[in-house]
Amino acid sequence: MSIRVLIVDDEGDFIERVSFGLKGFDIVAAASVVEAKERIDESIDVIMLDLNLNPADDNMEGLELINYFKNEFPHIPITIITGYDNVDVAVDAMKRGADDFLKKRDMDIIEWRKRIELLARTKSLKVQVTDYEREKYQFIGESNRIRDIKNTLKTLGQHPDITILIRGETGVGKEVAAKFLHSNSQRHNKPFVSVNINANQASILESALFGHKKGAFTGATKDRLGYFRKADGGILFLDEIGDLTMEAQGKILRFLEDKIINVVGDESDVKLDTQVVVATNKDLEGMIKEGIFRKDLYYRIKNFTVDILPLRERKEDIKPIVNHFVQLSGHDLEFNMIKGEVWDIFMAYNWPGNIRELRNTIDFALIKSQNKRIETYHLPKELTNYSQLSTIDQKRDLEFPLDLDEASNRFQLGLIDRALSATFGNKGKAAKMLHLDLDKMRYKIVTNRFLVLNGGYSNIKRYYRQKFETM
Amino acid sequence: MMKTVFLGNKNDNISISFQNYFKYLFDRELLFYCDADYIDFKENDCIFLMEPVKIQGEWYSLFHLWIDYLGVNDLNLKVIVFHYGEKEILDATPFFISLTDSRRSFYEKINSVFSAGNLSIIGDHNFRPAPALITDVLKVFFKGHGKESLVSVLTSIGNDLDMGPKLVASDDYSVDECIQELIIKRKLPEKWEKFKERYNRYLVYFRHTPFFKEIQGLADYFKKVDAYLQNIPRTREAFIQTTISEEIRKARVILEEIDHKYIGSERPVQL
Repeated sequence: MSIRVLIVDDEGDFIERVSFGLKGFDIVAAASVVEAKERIDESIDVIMLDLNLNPADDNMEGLELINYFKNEFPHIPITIITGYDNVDVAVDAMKRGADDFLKKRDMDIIEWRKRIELLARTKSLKVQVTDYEREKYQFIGESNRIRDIKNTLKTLGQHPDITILIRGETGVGKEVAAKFLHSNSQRHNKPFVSVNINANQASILESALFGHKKGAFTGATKDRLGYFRKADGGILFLDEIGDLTMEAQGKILRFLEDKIINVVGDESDVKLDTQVVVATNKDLEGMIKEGIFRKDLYYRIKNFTVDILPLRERKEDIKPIVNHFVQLSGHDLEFNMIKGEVWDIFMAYNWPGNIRELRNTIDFALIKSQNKRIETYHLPKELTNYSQLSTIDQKRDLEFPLDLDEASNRFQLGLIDRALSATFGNKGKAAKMLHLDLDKMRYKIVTNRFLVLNGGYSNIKRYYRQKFETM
Repeated sequence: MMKTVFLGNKNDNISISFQNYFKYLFDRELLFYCDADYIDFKENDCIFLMEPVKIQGEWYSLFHLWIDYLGVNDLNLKVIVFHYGEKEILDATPFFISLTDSRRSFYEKINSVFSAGNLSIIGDHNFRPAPALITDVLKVFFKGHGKESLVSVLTSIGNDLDMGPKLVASDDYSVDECIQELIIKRKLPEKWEKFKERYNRYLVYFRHTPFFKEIQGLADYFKKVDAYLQNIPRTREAFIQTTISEEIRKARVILEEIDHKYIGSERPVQL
């Protein structure tokens, strides 16, 4: 099949010459911006664009056309045709996403043919890479609610200047959602920078986000770009926004309103084109009442909120998600890697750690099964115990007289145990998972002498870690 | 002995009179720039400019172009400007001499410049004795209208001539096909003639510029192109081996350099 080239140039003489020299290529000519937009479609393999379409506008029409092509047809490579040795213009064009540039002066048609053929090959590569990226960050799930979320994210992706809030329990895949948004957005060719606020010390968070100048403070031995500037043109994903200090919240708010940041140690304003996506598993409204989250920031970010459901509320997604992880581990699904009883356990379990826990479970089971078929005994004990407990509890429900308080208490302790297992003994996170006040959980554990033989409340973390390691 | 260049020509009565008068006053020979075959500026110590000059019925100022040229090329010449101008302005500097000055004043001024040592070039760019600068008209020559800049026309012709041999060498095209499509169908001989007309029309202006000899020298390249277009090789070997586009490239490089250094018609050249 011949290579289809769109030549955007208002000089008919040039188009005639190139068309003759590119015998065997399918040439589509456009003499203006309007014609170029009319004639471009997915069948084009390479765009040749003369920046100087209108001598009066100093290349602006041509440069803006690059943006248009890159947004609407990101896979089609663009080569700039320059009539003069203007390096600045070529650099500007390349920054905007042009893939190559050819000089009209001293044109070598044989060289041009080779370069256009090469560019045409990069188109198919780009398509494959983008498909792979989309596959990698796609939400796996067949439930209607996940389908709705995906559609919402795709729609939001077409609005590159809005701020988006993603909410959901730990492990539900908030970052995956943000990456899905990015790969389906107008900014997909630009950077996606992910920052976990929790992982950055509060004292250096500002510098990490906004960058600093060399010498701005003790230890600033060289300039630092900062995440905001790294994400310029693309998307900055701020995970755990509820952990921001009030001061940092103010600076984020300023950026969201004015698109301006100040680098630490430099008073001048830096204007950026960065879209911000934030995520949290916290109750931000509750935090506002407590006075630890800014109300104005909340109202600035909450307009476009996406709630990701916990896995227990969309159990029909478990099977495709498990299959996805098994495939990612390099196994062929046709070999029926998961035994039927294992599926039963997966469906019965309530997955407090959500998809992260599910993935860890699959990895764990594959290691234990030595990459062979997963049986029930390859699963972590929480899952099998949970299953047994559910069965016993169901039987007990049928046996009268029934001690309701005791059954209820036992059930609650079972949930606490599973939440602690899923969080590797992190009491705070386990309490949040259960929507339980930390003190209440502590009271429950201590008064029931729960785990007392294993070191008690103060050794919970060590106990659960050891438990995981010995599984 | 150092010589003095005079920007006049032998057919001009004022110039002839001035040459004689100068010889009488200073016993120095004046070289007529516009009629000389070649003048090496390094062998001269002074240039007389007559401002403004009349070309094709219009008055033009040469002063700025010459000052720029001498500056760019680091030529340490004195420049003396003869001018029918306002006396107060001209009296303020020894380099401007009014043609209406008395003989005594005239002699003293020139003599003071000659004896002043390394006075070199005047930097007063506010001086503008004619409504139009010669560079303005030369800009039109280089820049043309719309996308018809001189360099773009030459580039276009050069590319057409260059493409044929390369395509035939690639074995995908025949000689006849290339001649038909690139030369005959695209009316290359007509375009070439049109270009030469433009060049010839502006030669009269270039005659007053310091790079006239370079411009005049382009004719040698153009003759080769003329010869080629009148007798285009028809055999494959001869057609492939032609290097005629190289002659056009050389001419274009000279013109571009002149434009870039002294005229500045560029904003980026339109192709």
